[in-house]
Amino acid sequence: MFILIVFIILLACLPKVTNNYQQYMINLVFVNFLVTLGLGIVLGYSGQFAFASAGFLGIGAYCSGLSMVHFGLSYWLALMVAVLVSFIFAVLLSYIGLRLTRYYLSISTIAFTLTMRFFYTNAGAITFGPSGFNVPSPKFFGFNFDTDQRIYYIVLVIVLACSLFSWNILRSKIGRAWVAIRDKEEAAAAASIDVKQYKRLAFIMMGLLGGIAGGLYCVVLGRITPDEFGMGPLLLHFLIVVLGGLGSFSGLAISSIIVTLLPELLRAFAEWQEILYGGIIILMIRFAPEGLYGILQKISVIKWRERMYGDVEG
Amino acid sequence: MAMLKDKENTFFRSSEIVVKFGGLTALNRASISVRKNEIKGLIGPNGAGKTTLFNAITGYIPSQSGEIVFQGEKITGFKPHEIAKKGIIRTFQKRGILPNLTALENVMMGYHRLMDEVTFWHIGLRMKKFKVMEKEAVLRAREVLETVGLPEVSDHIAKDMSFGQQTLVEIGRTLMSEPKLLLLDEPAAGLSSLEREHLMEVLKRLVREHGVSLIISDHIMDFVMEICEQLVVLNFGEVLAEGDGGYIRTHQGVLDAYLGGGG
Repeated sequence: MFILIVFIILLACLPKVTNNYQQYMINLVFVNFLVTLGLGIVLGYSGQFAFASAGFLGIGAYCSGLSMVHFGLSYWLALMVAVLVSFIFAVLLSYIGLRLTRYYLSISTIAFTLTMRFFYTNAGAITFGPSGFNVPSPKFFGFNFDTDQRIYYIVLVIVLACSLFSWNILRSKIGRAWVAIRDKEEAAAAASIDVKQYKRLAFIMMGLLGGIAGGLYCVVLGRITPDEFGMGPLLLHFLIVVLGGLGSFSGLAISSIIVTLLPELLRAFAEWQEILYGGIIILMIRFAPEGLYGILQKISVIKWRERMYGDVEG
Repeated sequence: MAMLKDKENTFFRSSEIVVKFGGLTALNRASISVRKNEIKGLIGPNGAGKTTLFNAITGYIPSQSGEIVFQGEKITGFKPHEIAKKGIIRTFQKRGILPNLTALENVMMGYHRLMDEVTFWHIGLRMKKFKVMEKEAVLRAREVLETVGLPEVSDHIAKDMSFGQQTLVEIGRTLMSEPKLLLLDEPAAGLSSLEREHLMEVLKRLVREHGVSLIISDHIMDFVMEICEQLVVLNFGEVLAEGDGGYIRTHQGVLDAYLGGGG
C-alpha cells in the first residue's frame, strides 16, 4: 500500500520534469495501457479471441470528440456519452461473441473494427471524413486543460481509477470465473458459474475500458482521424498484450511503455513497423508465451508474485 | 409430518432417463435415487453409462426423456450451472481442476455458489461486503484443504500435483460450495491405497457432519462396496440390479456382466 502511494505521487510529479513531447508520449502510454487492459481481460482471462479493442477505442474517441464538437457538450459529459455508447455496443457485440468461437469470433470482431473505421472515413457529414477533426480542450470550472502536462492529470486519474477497479475485478470471484472458463469450461459450470454471463461480462469490460480509453485518446491526440482506429492500432494492442504476457497486469504496464515508445526508437525503420510488430508477436507466441512477465520471472530479475490470492493473510 | 416424509423420500430422484447419441442408446430408462444422508454407489463395467448418467443429471447432455427431481423441484432440462446452484455438485472423471491455479485458488472457486450477494460493483469499488466475503473464502478454503489433507500444498500450482492430490483438490472444491448432493465420478481411480483410505474418511465425515448425500460412481467394486450401503448396477445403459452390497455380490447378472459371461 505504501509503495502504491509513493508510486502514485511519483507519477503525479512527472509533468514537472517532462517537455511537451515527452509528456505526450507518456499520455499515450497510459491510454494504450487502458485499452489493452480490456483486450487482455478478454484474451488472457476469459480466453475469447475477440479483437475489438481498436473498435471500442474509436467509439470512445469519436463519441466524446463529436459530442463536444456537434453538441457543445463539456468534456466530462462527452466522456459519459462515450462510456454509454461503448457499453451499448459492447452488450450488442457480446451476444454475437457468445455465438461464435475461435477464428470466427476473431474474424467477426476484426470486421467490426474495420467497419467502424470505414464508417468514420465515409460518414463525412458526421465524422468529418478521412481528414478528421480537432478536439477542443477540456475545461473544468474555468481551468483549461490545454497542454499535454495538464491533460496528463485527467489521464492519470481516470486510468488509475479504472486500473484499480479492474485489478479488484480480476482478483475476485469474477477473475476466478474467467480463468475457470478459459481453462475448463465444464468445470466452471460445475462450480455454478454461468459461463455465458461471464463471457459477456468480459466482453463488456473490454468495451467499457476501450471506450473510456478512447475518450482520453481524443484529448491526448487533440485531433482524431479514422487511421487511429484501424488494423494498425489493433495490431499494436495485440502486440502489447502478447508482449506483456496474457492477463498479467505488471507485464502489460511494461509492454505498454516499450511498445508505445518503440516507434520513436526505431524511427529509421518506420516503413517496416508493422512487419516488425507481426514478427515480434510470432516470436513471442512461439518462444515466450508468458510474455515479459514470464521472461522476467524465469531469469529471476524480479521475484514478485502476481498470483490472484497469494497475499491474503489468514 | 407427511410433507416432511415426502420430502425425505424424494430428496433426489432421476427416473427413466433415456439418452441417445445418434443411433446408440447410451442410457435406457436408467433410474437412480438418493435419500438424505445416504451414500449410493453406481457401479458397472466400463462403458456401462455411469458418466453419461452423471452428465444427464447435471445437465451437460440433454436427455430424450425422463424426469429429475431434487428436493421436490423438477430440474429436468436445467443448465449445468443452474443445477450446481441448487446444490448438486459433481466431479469429473478426468478431474475438473484448473491447471494454472494453485490448490487454494482451485478450492476457492467452489465458493462461487455462495457469493451471489457480492456484485460487480461491490468488487470493483472494493466495498466491505466484497472484502469480508473474499477473506472468508480464503479462510474457508484453507480449512477445506486441511479437511482433505492437503494444507502443505495450498500454494502449489494444480497441474504440478499428483493425480491423487488433484482428486482431493477437486473434492475440496465441491466441499467449498457446501453441496447438498455430491456426484463423484470415479474418485478412487488413480489413488494409492493410502490416499483411498483417506478419501473414504473424508467422504464419510462429509455425510456424517455436513449432512451431504453422495452418489459415487466407480468400477472399483471394493471401494464402492465398502463405503456405500446401497448400490445401483448399470450395464449397457440399463439398471441391471439395485440393492445392498451382499445382494449385489451374489447377483448372477452382475457377476456375468463383470466377468464378461452370460452375454
